[in-house]
Amino acid sequence: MIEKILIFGSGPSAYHIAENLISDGSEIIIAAHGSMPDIPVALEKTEILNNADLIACRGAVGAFAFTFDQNGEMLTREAAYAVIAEECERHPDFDAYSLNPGERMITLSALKTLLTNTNNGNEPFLGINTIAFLTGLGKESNPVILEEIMDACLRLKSDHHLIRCYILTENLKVGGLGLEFKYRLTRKAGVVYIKFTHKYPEIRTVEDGCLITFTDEITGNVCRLTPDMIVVDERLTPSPYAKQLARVMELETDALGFIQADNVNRYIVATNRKGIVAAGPARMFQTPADHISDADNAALTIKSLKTRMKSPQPDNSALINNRCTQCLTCFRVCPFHAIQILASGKLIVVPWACERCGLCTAECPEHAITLEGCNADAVANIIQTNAVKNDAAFVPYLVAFCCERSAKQAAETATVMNMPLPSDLRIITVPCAGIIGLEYILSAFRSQADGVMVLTCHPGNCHSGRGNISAHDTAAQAAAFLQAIGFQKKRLKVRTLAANMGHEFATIANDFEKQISDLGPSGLKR
Amino acid sequence: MAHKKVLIIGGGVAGLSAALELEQLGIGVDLVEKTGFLGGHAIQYACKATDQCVKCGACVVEEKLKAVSGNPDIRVFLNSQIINMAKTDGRSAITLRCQPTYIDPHKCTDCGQCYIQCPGEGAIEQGFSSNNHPLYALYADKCLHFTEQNCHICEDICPEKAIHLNMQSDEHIREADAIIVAIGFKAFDPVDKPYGWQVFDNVITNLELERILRRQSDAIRPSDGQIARRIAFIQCVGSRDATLNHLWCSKVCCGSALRMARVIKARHPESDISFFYMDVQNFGKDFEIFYAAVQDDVRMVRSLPGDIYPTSDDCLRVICFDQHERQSVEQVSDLVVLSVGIKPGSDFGELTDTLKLKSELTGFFSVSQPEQGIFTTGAATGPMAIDDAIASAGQAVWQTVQYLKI
Amino acid sequence: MPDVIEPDAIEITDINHLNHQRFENWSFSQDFCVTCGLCSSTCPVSGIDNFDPRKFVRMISLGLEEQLVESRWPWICTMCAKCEKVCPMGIEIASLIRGVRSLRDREKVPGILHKGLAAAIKTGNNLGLPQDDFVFIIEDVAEEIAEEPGFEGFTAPIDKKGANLLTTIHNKLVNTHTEDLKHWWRIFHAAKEDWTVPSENWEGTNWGLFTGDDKAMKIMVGRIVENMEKLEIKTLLWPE
Repeated sequence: MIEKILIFGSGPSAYHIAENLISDGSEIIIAAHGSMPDIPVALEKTEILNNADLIACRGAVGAFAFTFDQNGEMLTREAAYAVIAEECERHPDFDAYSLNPGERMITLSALKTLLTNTNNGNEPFLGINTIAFLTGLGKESNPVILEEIMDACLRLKSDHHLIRCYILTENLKVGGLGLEFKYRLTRKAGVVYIKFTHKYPEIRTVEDGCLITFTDEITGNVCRLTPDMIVVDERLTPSPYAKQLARVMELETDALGFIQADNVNRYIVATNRKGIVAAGPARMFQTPADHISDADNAALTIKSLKTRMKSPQPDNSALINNRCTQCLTCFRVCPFHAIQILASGKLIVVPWACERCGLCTAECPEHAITLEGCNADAVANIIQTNAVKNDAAFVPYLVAFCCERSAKQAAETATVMNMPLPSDLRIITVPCAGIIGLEYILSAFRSQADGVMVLTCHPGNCHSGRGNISAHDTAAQAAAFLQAIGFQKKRLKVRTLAANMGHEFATIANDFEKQISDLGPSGLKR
Repeated sequence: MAHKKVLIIGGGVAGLSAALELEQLGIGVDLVEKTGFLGGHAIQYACKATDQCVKCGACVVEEKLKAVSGNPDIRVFLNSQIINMAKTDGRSAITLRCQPTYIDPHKCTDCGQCYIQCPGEGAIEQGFSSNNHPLYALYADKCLHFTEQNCHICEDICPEKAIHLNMQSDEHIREADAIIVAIGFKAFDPVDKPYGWQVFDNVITNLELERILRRQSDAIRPSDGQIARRIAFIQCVGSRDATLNHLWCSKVCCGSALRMARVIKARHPESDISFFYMDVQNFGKDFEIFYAAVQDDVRMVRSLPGDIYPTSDDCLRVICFDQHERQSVEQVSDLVVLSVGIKPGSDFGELTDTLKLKSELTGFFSVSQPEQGIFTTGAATGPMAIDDAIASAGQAVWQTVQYLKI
Repeated sequence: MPDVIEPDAIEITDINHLNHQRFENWSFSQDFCVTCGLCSSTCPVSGIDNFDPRKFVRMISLGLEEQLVESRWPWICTMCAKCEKVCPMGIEIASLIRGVRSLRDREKVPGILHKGLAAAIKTGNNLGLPQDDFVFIIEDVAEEIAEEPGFEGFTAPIDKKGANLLTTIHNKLVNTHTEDLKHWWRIFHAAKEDWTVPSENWEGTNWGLFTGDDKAMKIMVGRIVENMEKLEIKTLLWPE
C-alpha cells in the first residue's frame, strides 16, 4: 500500500507543509520545478526531485502516479496524496500607470531587496528624499500588498529618517489582522496618504525624475509631488507552472487561474480531486500567516483522509455494470476523476473518490451506471403512487426535484418553520441536480404530475461543480421538447436555491401552485 | 492510541468546524454552547446569491450544523458555560454550568405551538435553521413562569408534553485532553453613535438585516412591514475607532453590506441603494469583478453620515458631507443599515480568567497557547469571515492534534 | 481616470516641500485622521465659504499653515465641537481650529472680536462700559424688578463681601438684553440666594478663547479670580 505524499513546490509554503507532514510521521517526496534551495535538516531523508516538470497524473486518491520530465528523463513517482504548494508570481503594474521601470522607478519587491541590502553597509537610498508608492489605483490593491508597503515605510522612516514617504491609493486595505494599528504607526512616523476615489493622479516622466499632479480630494488643492523614487505595487498571480499543474491534473481553477475553484464547497484546501489539496499561494494570494494556516489545513485534510481510508470503503458509490460499452462518457463527465480505466479497458468507479453526484448516471447513454437511491423508474413509481385521485376541486399535483444539499434543506426549513406550502407537493430528493436527466422530468409528467420543479443550487455553488448547470440544460431541453409536442412548458419550472432559503422555497412553490392552478390539470393526466 | 477528548467552547462556525474535524479523526468532542442554539451568528445569515453564488459562505454553516446535529460522537451542551477548570496530569477537568433547556429534544417535534402561544415577549425564541433541534429555546429570564410565577401555557399546550418548566440547572464536570476556545465575536452596540439606533424603528444593524433577509427574503421595514426601496448602508460603525479602543477594521462588513445590497437590487431592481464608506475592503476570491459590478448597482459615497433625523412618515433624513458639492447634503431613506463592528465575544473576560488565556492589546485572543493545551480560534482571535473562521478552526485542530501527539 | 490639470491655470501646492511636521507639537491627534468624513457631515457650518472640518484637519496634517491662517475658515467655525464628539480617531478638531486662530496676526483677527477683546483688556468689559454706567444700569434693572409683585424691596447686591455666589455678566445683558438679567435675578430672589456682582471686571465672555489668544484669556480669567479673592467668595456662576 502506498503511503507517500507528494508535495509540489519549493518555497516557504512547501517547506511548512513538508514539516507538518514529517512531524505527523508521513513519508514525503518533494517535486520542485526549479531547484530546492537550502534543504532544512528535517527534509534530509526526504526524496527531493529538482527540475521536475509534471507531464502526467494518473490514478485516484490512495494511488496516484505522477510522471515527470526531469531534464529530458521520464520519471514516475507513486503517492497516495499530493499537496500543491507552488508560490505565486509577482507582476509589477508599471503599465497600469504608464510608467517604465528604471533605477528610480522600481517594484515593491525591488524596494524590499534594497531595504535588506542596507544591512550590508550599502547606501541604496543616497540622494533619495522622497518616495511615492503607487498602489491600487485603477486595479484594486489588497491587504497583503498594503502591509508590505507599510512595513517598508516604517523601515524607511526608522533607518532613513529624512526620506519622506507618500502612499497614493484608492481604498486603503486595512482589512487584516493588525493593519489599522500599523496604519496608525505609519501616520505617527510621518507617512502621508493620499486617497483617490474617481480621478487618479497624472504621472509624467520629466527630465530629472517624475512629476505627479493631482487634486487632493479632501482639501481640493491641486498638488504636485516630485518624488526621487517611485515604488509600484505588484499583482500576485499563479505561476505558469501552477497553471500547468492544474492542466495536467485536470483541477478546477478560479477566475485568476489559481488552483481551486471559487466554490464554497472547496473550503479550505480541497480541489475537485480527492487526495489532491491546494494550499497557500497555490490557491490564492494570502498573508504569510494565512500560508501557515493553509499548510496546517493541508496536513489536517490529508490526515483526515488517511484516517477515513483505514475504514471499509464506502458501498454507496456509483457502480458500472456490464452494459458498459466503454464509451468513456462517464470518465469525461466525472467532476471528481473518480472513474478509472483499468489495464483491461474496463471502467470502474473508485469508491473513495466518488462524491455520489450522479452526473455519470445521467450522462451514460447505455444506462450502465447505477447509484443507490437514484433510479428514474423508482422515482416515477413514487410519483405515480402518491398521486391523489381527487374528483372534487382541482388541486395541482406538484413534483419538486430538489438537490439534497440546497433546495431540500430549504424545503425542510420552510416545513419546520410552518410556512404555508402547496397542499399536494411531492419532494424528490436527489444527491445532486446533475442526476436529473430528461427521463426524470418526462416520467414525472407521465406519472400524473401537473407541474414539475427542478430546484438546484446557484451557479458557482454546486458541490460537483456543474451538476446544477447540467440540470438547467436538461430542463431547457425538456421544455423545448414539451413545447414541440404542444404541452404547456410553463408546467416545468427551474429555479436556484440555497440551503438557507426556506422562505424563498415557500414563495417559489406557492407561486408555482398558483400558476398551475390557473393552467388546470395537465393534459398528460390519466 | 488512547482515546482522546477535546472540549470546544462555542458552537458557532469555528466551533462546529473544529468539532467535525476532530470527530473525523476519531477524537471525542464535547461542544459547549452558551445559548440555546448551535450555529452562532453565521447561522442567522441570509444567502446573498444573485443569479449566481457570491461565496458569502452562509450555506456552508448550514451544512456544518447539519453534520454536527446528526453526529452521535459530538456531545453538545446547550445553555452551558465554563465556570472552572482544574488541571491534573495534562488532563483538564472542566466544570460546566448548564442552564435547563426546558424542552426535551427527544419528545419535541418542532411544531412551534409553544412559540406561537407564548404570551411573554422573547421568552421562547425560534432558531434559524431546520438543523437546530429543538427549533425553539426557552429563556427563563423572560419567561412569565419565572418572572411572575404564574404562567405555564407552553407546558400545558405542548402536544408532546416535551416542556418541563421545573427542570433544574445542572453542573457537569467534563474531562478533556485539550480545549479549543471558539467563542466568536460580539457585535458593537451602536446606541451611542449619532444614528438613532433603537430610537428610530427603521435604523437597523447589518446583522439585523441579515436576519430579516434570511427569514423574509426582502428588506422589510420594521416600522410598517413594507419593503424598503431606498436603503442606506453606513459602514465602520464601531470599527476603526480609536475612541472606543477599536483600532481595527472589522474586515467582513464591506462584503456583508455590498452582497446584501446586490441581492436586494437583484430582487427589486427599482431599489435605490447608497453605501457610505471610507475604504472598501476586499472579500472573496473574485472581489475585483464583484466590486466593478456593484458600482453599477449601488451609489457609493465616500463619506460617513453625521446625523439622521426622522421624517413624519418614519423615513430617515441622512445628512452627509458631499465631497464634490463640498457641502452637506441630505437624502431620505426608508431604511438605514449600520454595519456594526466586531468585538471580542462577550465571555472574553471571564474565560481569560478561568482558562488563564493571553490576549492581544486589541482585546482579541492571541492565536494559541500550545503548552497549555488550550487553542483559540475563529473570530475570538480577530474579525474574520466564514471561510477564514473555517480555516482558523482547521489550524486549531491541527495544532491540537500535534499537541496530543495523535 | 487620470486627473487632467492645466498647471498654469491654478495655484499648485507643492506637497514635497511642505513641512508635514510643522504642527508636530500640537498633540491633537490630527495625524490619525482616516478621512471618514463624519466631522464634516455633522458640522453645522460645513460648506460655508468652502469650509469643512475634515479639510481643516488635513491641511494641518499636510503643514499648510499659511493658507489656513490667512483664510476665513478658522473664523467660520462656531467652536461647538460636535465634530470632536463624533470623530472616531479622537481628533480635537475645535482645539486645532483655535490653535490656528492664535497664529493670526492680532491686528487681522476679525474686527468685532479683536476690538471687543482689546476693550475688555483695557476696561474690563467688551463694551468699554464705564463703571458708573454699569452700576447705574444694574440699579435701574433692580428697581424695575422691585416694582413687580412678590419682589418688593429687591436690590442687586454689588461687590458684597462674603456673599455665597459671585456671578459674571455677559456684556449683551447690560447693553441690549437687560430683560434677560431679570430672569436670573428673579431666580436668585426666589431661591433666597446670597449673591453679588462685581462692579469691575464683570465681563462673562472671554474672547481670548475664541481668538486663540491665550494671554488675553488668562488675563480675563485672572480678573475673575481676583474678584473672588477680594470679595472672599468661594462659588462662581459663570453663565457663558
